[in-house]
Amino acid sequence: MKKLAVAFLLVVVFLSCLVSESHAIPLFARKYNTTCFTCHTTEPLLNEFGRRFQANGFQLPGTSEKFAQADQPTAALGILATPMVLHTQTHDNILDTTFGIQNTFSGIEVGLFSSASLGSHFSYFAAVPIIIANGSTSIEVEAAHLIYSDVLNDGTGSLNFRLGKFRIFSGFLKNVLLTGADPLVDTYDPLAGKTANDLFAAADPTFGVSAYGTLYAISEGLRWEVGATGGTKSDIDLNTARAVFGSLDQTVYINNAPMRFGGFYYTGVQDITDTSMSATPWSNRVTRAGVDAEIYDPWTKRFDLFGEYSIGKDDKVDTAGGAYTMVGGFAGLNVIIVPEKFYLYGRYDWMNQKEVSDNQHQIDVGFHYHLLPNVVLTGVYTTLMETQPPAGVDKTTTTFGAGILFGF
Amino acid sequence: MYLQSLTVVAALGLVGFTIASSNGAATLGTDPVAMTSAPTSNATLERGKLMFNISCSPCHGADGSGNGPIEVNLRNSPRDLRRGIYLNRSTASGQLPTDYDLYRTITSGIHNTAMPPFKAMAPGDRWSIVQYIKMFSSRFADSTEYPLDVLNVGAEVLPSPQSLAKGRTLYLQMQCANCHGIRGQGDGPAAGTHVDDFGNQIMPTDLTNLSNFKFGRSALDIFRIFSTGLNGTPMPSYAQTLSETDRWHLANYVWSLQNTDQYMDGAGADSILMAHGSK
Repeated sequence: MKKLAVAFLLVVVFLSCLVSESHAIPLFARKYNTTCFTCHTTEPLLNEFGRRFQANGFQLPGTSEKFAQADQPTAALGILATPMVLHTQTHDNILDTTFGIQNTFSGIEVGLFSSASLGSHFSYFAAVPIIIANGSTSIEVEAAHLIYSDVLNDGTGSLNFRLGKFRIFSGFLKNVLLTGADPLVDTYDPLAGKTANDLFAAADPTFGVSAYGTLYAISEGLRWEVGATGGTKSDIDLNTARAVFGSLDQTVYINNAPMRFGGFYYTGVQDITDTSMSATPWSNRVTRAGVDAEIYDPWTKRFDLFGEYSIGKDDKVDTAGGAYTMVGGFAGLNVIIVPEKFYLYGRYDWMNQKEVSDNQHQIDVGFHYHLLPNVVLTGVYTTLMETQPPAGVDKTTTTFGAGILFGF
Repeated sequence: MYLQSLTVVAALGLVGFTIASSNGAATLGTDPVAMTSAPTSNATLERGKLMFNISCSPCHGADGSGNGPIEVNLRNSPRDLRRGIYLNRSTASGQLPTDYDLYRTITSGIHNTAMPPFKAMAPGDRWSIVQYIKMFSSRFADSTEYPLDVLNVGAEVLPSPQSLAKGRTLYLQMQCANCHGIRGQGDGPAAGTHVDDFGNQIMPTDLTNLSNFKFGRSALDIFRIFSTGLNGTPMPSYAQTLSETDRWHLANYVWSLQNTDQYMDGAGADSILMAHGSK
């Protein structure tokens, strides 16, 4: 472990030197010759400008690259590397034993991002994380979609299309949360332990097509999206799925502090043809819905309080016809301690699965410290408490660790 | 020789373009001074308000106060547009900017800050934002603020070993090193003591770092700053204290610092000029 820690520190020092020499900042910051903080409170948390940038097809709000001048680069490529060291400990509360103690170098996730304008309205965005951990390497195309922006040619981004693989805009996206963890309801998998294949996780990117935008003509902060997808994880599942979804949220400002309220609805059918579970295919209807809110304190704008309440139902998760119903949500707080420097966050998640009484509670706290413009030190402490009475698992899993986030 | 000729032609072209641009003729077809006080249609202002609220209000706030939703996350507050104090101008120290100055800032952004370049915004929309943001400050409607004394670039002095050496002498004479440091790296004795008119702590520009030239890095851009100063900051205008020719020498010297820290006393001028394609 000592050797591992020393090696990790050496890597950190080496990369820090590399970065301070290059003065490089990633992707869009480089393209637009601006700082990361134009769009991010701290990476990956998007601020209001960043959300408008994203909503406008990864172009500055109010702009369309059909007006781009010859000296403006249209393509951008960024790399994000996040090595983490974690200590994980699991405790069985019934047997009063501690097991599964692990001190791990959890690996390096290297995210490759690319975006470019392909003409007057077309652009694309792609994110390909490469995860190097435990001696193996995995590559996934997390997002790869074409965007046709500013369809109405009015410069406001009220109507855009995207086609390909993306995360749906329902509720909180990963880059609207500071914690790395996805909400429990979104990631809950009823088939976990029953089959090799996952059934459904709303947090995962999906193939689909959607129309979205910001309706400035109606209300400045009114954002919408409707779309149809092939279901989540459709790139790795043997199962087929089709779903429709929609979301709507409104931002209002009090003393220039944003307050956002919204909701989402997702429903679809998954045709399960996995022969490892049953020779006879069956269909499972998946429904997820929720409401969410985010409020910045209107005095200092340093405290960002947010939360989501969501319900989920899978009407037939196995051949026995069992239905699964989930209720859950989260509440959290992001705090700006020193602008462009130091941030704290905390979040509480809960999820109750009714049929098998699987109750989960999770507390997640951490910090971000910007050592250099593109080097961020992170620390995280997570406790997941899971209960499956009467005779099932009753355990607590605690993880704490530290890492570094490099952007190039 | 060929490069030198090419540079002269390019420089003349640049000067010509800039003069034309500063008159608004090349791009906008109107004189910027006249445009500053020209009446603006309600439709333009409505469009300007819409585009400002979409693109600018996250930082500057819908009321132009510089207190937008993300202001607290930035080390330096976005500009309070209600005060009518602007850095990037072609007008005399303390004066309002021309409309074209505002248009240029929106278009090019302020390098290496949170203000991005809105080059890809429709030109008409940028123009309407110019008209709209002028509504935030009563200075623009005050007739005593006019006429604006717009900078006359005059005859450009091209970089040469003699010009750079003269510039270096002026750099020391005018106490530039007190803030920007003896090598121009922004580390002079007074560095770290400055606060702008908006209460932001500001550091002198590191003149050896290309990224730090906020309003363009050509000798002409630097000459403009020496001639107008940066309103609201300790950076003064030298229009009254240095002749136009001396300002060009100083601009050439500062321009030469961008790609090298070798040049200290004129000895490395040849290599610098070669690097810049001027020799």
